[in-house]
Amino acid sequence: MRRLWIIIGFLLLALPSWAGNVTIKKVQLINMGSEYPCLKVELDGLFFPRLKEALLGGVSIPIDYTVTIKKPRSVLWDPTLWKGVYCRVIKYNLLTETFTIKDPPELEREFSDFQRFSQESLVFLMPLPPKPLKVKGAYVEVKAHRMYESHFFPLDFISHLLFPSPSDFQTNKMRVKAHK
Amino acid sequence: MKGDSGNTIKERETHSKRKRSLLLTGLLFLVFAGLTCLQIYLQHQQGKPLKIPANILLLTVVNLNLIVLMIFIVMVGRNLVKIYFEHKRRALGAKFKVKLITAFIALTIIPTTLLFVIASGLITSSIENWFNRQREDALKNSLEIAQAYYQELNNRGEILAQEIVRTAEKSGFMDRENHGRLVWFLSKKAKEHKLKAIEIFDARGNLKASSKGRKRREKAYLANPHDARLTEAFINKKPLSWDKNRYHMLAVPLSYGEIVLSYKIPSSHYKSLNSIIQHYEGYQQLKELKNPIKTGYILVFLMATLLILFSSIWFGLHLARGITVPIEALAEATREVAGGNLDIRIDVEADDEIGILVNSFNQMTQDLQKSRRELEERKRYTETVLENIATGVISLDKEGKILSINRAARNLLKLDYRECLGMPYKQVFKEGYLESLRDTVRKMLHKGREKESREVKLVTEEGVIHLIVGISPLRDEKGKYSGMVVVMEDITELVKAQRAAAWEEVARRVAHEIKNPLTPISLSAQRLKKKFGGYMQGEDGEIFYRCTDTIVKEVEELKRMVNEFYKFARLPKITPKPTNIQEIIKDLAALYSASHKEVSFQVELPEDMPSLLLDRDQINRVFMNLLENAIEAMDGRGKITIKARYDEKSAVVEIADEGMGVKPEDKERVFMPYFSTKEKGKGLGLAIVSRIIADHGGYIRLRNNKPRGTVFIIELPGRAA
Repeated sequence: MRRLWIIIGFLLLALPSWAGNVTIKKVQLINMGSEYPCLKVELDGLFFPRLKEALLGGVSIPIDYTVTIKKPRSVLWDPTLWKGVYCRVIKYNLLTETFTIKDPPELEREFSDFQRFSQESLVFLMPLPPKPLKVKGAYVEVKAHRMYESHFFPLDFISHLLFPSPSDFQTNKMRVKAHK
Repeated sequence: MKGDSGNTIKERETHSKRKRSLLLTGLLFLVFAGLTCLQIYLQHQQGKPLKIPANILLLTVVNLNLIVLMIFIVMVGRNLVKIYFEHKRRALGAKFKVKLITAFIALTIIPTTLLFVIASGLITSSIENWFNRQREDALKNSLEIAQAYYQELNNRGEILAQEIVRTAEKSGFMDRENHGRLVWFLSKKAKEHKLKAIEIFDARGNLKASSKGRKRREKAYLANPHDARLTEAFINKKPLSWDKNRYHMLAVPLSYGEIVLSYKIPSSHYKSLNSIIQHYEGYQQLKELKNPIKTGYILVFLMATLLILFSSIWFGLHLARGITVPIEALAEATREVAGGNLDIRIDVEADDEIGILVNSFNQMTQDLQKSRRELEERKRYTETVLENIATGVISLDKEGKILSINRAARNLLKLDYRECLGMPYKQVFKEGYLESLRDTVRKMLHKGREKESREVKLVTEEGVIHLIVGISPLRDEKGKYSGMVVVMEDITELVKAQRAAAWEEVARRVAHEIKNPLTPISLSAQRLKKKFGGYMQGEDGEIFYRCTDTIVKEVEELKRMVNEFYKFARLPKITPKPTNIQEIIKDLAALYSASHKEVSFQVELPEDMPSLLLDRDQINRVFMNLLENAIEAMDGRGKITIKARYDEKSAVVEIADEGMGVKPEDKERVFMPYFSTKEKGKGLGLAIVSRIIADHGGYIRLRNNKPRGTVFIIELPGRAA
């Protein structure tokens, strides 16, 4: 019985390592004083081989950025002031051999050069609501992930957990203080 | 099972609860089966694009299915845990349940596992087949054709663009003053090469010339002067192409800007290209999800396998319960019956063989109960008879342990029922006074287990008891020895009566034989004295007178003694009249206390004692004799206690003194004539007392007084006047 638990524990620990090791390199709040504050997120290691292979194979890669503005509390969990999910889609056009970055709502940029495309893909600028940021002690927490989403929850969830798609990834959570 | 109404109600509640649970499980199973079918159907539909409501339905179905499976798992798990604990504490039926469930699992696990493995293998190979080399090559080739088409378009476009620019430059159309001609030239070339538009931009992205002339409007086939791609093409000095709806745009860099050609892709080509690209991308997307999809399907199969397995376990459990519950009830009821509870009935409803067994059991207990009642009644009757007969009866088992002892035997042997039941007779008869009985029984048992009877004398503190002890062996239907019955009859009174009668006869004859010659002897002695007295002088005369006087005196004494003896032998018949014993006792106590100052009398008499039918004179004589005896035994000094009590059956009077008491060996002879422990006693007083009491139909016995002395107990039949 103990052996079985050890195997399960090992599998659970080993699971994240199957997918790409993408991390958030830098998070920055810009235009804080203005009416339209933005969050600048910089990823690292996004184009790991399996993702690059999938991208060049024509698979569109949606990357979800989950942004949460929270208020710190000493006990229990921190209450959420605001939460938003931004979805950026990166794609390669197999006919025209151009790369596209599609940001919400409908901003589309096309690149013929992978170098420029990859540099641009790593940095994402997201608008934030100014009001929650003004709350004393508020901070912004961000996490990015790419995961095949299905309605077959939790069956597909379990299968993804056991055998994730090779181009799936999930970054670490990073936070930045909004109110100093 | 029911022992009372409470139990029956509880059983009914349990039964209805079980029924509800069965119904619920059946319903859950049906829901699960239905949901699984729907899920499979919806999954089949997944090949086609699903609409949102269908997706939501699928999601609901899958989750419901999982919930049902979870409920199944919980139910089965709970039951398995219960069985595990039942098995651990070795509960009745647990082994059978385990066997049945193991059999069901064994029967189910092989086909389901086989089915699961085959289905998983089939789905795996089927999914692998989606991504086989041929399919991938075909898709790749199609893509390459599409890419080649685009490449060709771009190559031709690049050459054409360079040629147009070269011709325009050579013809001087690029000069500012020939702008009109340049527009004409571009328009001509566009028409010539079936292009939608040809446009030239400068390095800053400003439109220099367009085949559509100056009246150029925002159209899909026209390039946006602010398009970043134009700048990129100019900076990289590399042609750049992109699609805008159905138009293919090609930007070719020039030394001072770029030329953009706009192609309209024929609709047939456009559709085909789109289809190729969609399929290829879809294929790649699917390839990405190969493993999750495969695992998903395997999980679905696993779910179905588990469901079948759990269903079979549950069914096994249900079946086992259906069999073990009545068996448990039967076993429990059997235990109860073995413990003597024949009121037990099993209340299990079953139409099968188990039901027949249960009914037979109930019938059996009912019959047993009836038989036992009859047996008990018979036993009670026998016991009542045994308890009420005057003969003592003791039954022994083959080991000599006492199985039963009736009241007469207990009274005779002075034994307590609880002390002797189940005990070996040797241990029970260990008291000194029972030694003779023990030895007799032992000898008779050793002699040969045959019918035999002997007379046994028990010397107790209260006197000697004469018993006729008879022993009969008990044999079962096979003639095997199984114990003994000891029957004992108290013949003390009979012996007493026989002795008294013998003494009476002796006394009568002795009196008759002795008394007759005494008168002639006395008369002869007197005649001798009278006739020859005058002739005797001196010493001879003295001797003669003394001898004749002695003869006359001793003959008179002998006469008196013989008369006493005669009186004893010929005591007058009693003439019962209403007599108040209290009065007699009170009068005598007053009389003797007056004459014997050093003797104190304590008289305790009940006030409501009725007059009894007695011979007053003779009873008076009885008490006188006893009181005189008591005073003499105490040497005229001490305390005499007289107590009397009365019940409907008899009157009992006790006279206790503080004298020397009677030795146990003398107790039997005390009431015999001519037995006395006194020097001058004739030994007739107590014999007469005993005779009078016997004539009244009563008993007299004695016991030792505590701390010293003797207690005479007179028991007279209580016939009230």
